[in-house]
Amino acid sequence: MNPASTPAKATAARNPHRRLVIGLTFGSIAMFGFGFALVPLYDLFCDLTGINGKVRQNTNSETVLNRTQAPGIDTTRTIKIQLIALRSNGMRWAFNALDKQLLVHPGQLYRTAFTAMNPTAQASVARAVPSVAPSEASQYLHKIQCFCFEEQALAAGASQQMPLLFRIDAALPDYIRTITLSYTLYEVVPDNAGDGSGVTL
Amino acid sequence: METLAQPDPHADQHGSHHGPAKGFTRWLYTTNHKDIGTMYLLFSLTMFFTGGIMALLIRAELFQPGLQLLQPEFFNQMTTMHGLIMVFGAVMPAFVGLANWMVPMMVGAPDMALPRMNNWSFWILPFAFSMMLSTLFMEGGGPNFGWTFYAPLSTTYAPPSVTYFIFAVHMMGISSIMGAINIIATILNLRAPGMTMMRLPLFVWTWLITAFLLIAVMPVLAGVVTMMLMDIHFGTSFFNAAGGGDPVLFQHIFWFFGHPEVYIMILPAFGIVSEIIPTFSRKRLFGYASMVYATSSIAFLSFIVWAHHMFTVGLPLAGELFFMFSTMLIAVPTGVKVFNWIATMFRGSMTFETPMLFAIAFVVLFTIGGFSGLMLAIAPADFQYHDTYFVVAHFHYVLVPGAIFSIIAATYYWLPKWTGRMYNEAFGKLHFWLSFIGVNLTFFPMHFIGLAGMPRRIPDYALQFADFNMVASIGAFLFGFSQLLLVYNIVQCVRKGSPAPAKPWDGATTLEWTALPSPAPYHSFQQPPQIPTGSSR
Repeated sequence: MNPASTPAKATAARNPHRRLVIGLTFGSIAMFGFGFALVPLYDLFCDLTGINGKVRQNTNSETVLNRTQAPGIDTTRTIKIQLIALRSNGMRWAFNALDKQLLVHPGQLYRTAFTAMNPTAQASVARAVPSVAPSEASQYLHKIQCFCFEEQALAAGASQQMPLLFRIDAALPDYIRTITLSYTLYEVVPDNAGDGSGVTL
Repeated sequence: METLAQPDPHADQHGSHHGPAKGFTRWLYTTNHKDIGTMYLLFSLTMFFTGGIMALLIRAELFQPGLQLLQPEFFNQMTTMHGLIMVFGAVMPAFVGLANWMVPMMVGAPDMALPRMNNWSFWILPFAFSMMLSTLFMEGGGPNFGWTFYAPLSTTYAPPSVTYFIFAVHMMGISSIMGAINIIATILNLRAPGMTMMRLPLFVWTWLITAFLLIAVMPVLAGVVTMMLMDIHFGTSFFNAAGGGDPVLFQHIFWFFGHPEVYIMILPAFGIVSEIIPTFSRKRLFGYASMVYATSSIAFLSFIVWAHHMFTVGLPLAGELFFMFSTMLIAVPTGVKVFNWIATMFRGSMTFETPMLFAIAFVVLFTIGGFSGLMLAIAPADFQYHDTYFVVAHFHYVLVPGAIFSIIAATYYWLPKWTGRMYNEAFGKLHFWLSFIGVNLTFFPMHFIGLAGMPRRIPDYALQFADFNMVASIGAFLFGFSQLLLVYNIVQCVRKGSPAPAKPWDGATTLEWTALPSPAPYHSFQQPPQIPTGSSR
């Protein structure tokens, strides 16, 4: 930029201002968009790295079951799995883990369940949000079936067992000996839940 | 104003010289950068005292353990509002006001590049802050979730007035972005012939970089409050785990804005100090180019360190290490700056007028704040310090004797140019010493009570913290009331100060001193000044 070309001539000075201002305005609008782009980027980042205790969903259970038959069961190691059931504020269902703790071998498929009971007088819908600690273990946790994959509906006074089918990868690092799976149950309020299709967990 | 119009040869040959309009509409409709700068500075001063009263309420409650004066709910509103007002209402508008006054004069421009937008970006602010302060009188009270307004405290559990807070933040953001665009356009397009980029005074350089930071991050802040608004009113779930969102996402987006924001509040301070120290050392600034590059590096690094505010949320180890080391890296360009200031003073013919005293105190006390920042950067240690008074001590050391001292120094430094009169040096020095003692008395003990485990933002504390808290409260009242001396000094200067020469400071070299009379005429540099070609730095 040559400053000698911008003395007090107003007409000559107008053009560079306009271009610069349009550029800077566009830049700030783009950064506003970038703020929103951080939302999917954040989920993508957590997905790729498996941090934040979020687990990739294995919907194709057949291939996963086939893989479990592969000779990958490591009976020399026993991992302690702690199962925690939590309820969010205002959630009135009873919610408990059938097994508080399991001792598992990496590579082997296990089945456990959580129980839920709706003591209220109305039917309602709930969704469980999972979390894994330590977060590093989440990429070695394969859930074949989980009640957290979909919303759960209970009629007034009804109860049900909600299954969880999982396998710990044999590639789990040696220093992880305990894995905590925690599920927090939230009530799905009909008017802001929609069909839940936009929700990824 | 009329007594010293003649001394400068090329100040004004323009026959159409006219002064400001009369009455209140002068201020409402003005497009003059000096008028707008003055309004920004007075607005900032008002907010400084508003936020200061809140700080003193906080310190009064913490004078003794137990609950004496405030209810915890109101205490939370005070800590939140104190932070918001000081950050967005006092420090940022003060720097924009200084930029308005000084940038056109320092680059030899007749005014800001976009004077009407300049008027608009100022006049948004009083409305934004009236709206935000009005929430204190609403049902449920004002914002009470901390100035960082973490979700879900600011969404699910927020008082109903939070929507006013959100719109106030939107308005401040628009004001800041417009101000930044204006400053960039002025610096890039309106420099006088011969004023090359590497001859710009350092205050102008730091403001150019700050303006780019503002444009990059204020929209992200607008984005995050918009997400809050949608979560609260439109049923989205950005930060609500029940709907598939994540509250930690809020912290990531907030600090992506928040960390560059803290540099927005300190880079112009670096610029001010880099003007004042050479003037009163009667030497050129040591390492001008390295100062420019160091400022740019700090600005770049500020974008990749944000998660050091979030070490305890459960980041993976690789993340903690990355953010720890990138944060420590900032100490390198900052160290370059501190050493350059010291090297500038080294063997200079130093005198210690009030602006210089504040500038030297800035260098010393800001460095203390920088060191405690390095301690906080150590991820494992941060697990102990997180959310304690140690953090409060750290950021008050960089913001009060950092940003605020630099603003006060700038005020004393340029007051003769603004008003055409000298302030009272003895009262200026008194103001400095009371402030210096007050600030250290307030914030130094906070390091100790923080390390001992006193949590921040809590209206009560365990008995063993009582003595240091009492000292801090006494210091806070000393500091707060001694700021009345600043107001007194300014008023005395405007009313009764002895006339100031065009260049009252011996070592000053920048255009506003060398090419303009004091007070600076209402319209300066209608003809671009001659930049002496030998005056390269």
